[in-house]
Amino acid sequence: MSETTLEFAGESSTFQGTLPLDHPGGHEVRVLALDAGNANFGMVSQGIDVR
Amino acid sequence: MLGFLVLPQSSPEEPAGTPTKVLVRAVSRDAKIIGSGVGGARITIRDASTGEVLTEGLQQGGTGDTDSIMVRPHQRGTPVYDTEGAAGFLATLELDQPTVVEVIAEGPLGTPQSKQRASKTLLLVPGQDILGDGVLLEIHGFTVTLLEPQRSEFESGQELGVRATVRMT
Repeated sequence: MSETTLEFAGESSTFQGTLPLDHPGGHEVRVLALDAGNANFGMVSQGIDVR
Repeated sequence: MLGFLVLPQSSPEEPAGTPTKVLVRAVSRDAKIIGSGVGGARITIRDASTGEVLTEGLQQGGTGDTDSIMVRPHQRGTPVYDTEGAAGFLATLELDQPTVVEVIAEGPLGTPQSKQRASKTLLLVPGQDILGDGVLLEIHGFTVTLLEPQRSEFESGQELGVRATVRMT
């Protein structure tokens, strides 16, 4: 598993980052938004295939 | 205000009860009202003892006044959400006796992956309208939308660019 923090992208409510793709096979990209102080969380995911 | 009621025993042939307005608002935790821009919210009111659905519908409208909701300190007795165009669902129930109801909100309806549910029970009294800010239900969570990657196949050794928006539900 690789993990990184997305940084503010300069546009309202938008965040971006990069991850190396070193391992061939099926993977899941999962973006989590976290604010435990307000009990607010959000998630979206998408499958990718690395050849 | 305190009061008391003397109610006749109901019978099947009695006409419908007293119209009673109930305004419901689904609001976002730490943010504003769930408005039409994110698909609104589904509101259901059930009789808590029988489970019968008394009414249901969609909350539509604006997200409310930012200054009133997010900036100014809230003062007891002063409306926070009840501003022109603010989203809500206004129901009129026919009640023939004080009734405990369950009020349920599900939303935002525009993004199924971030839809959440909140509910509460309360006693309604015939003819006692609930307006103003109304019955508030707080929905937790963020709506995260993936902008990149838009394709699903990559070569090993590449860098994966990830870009996403995060909005208060």
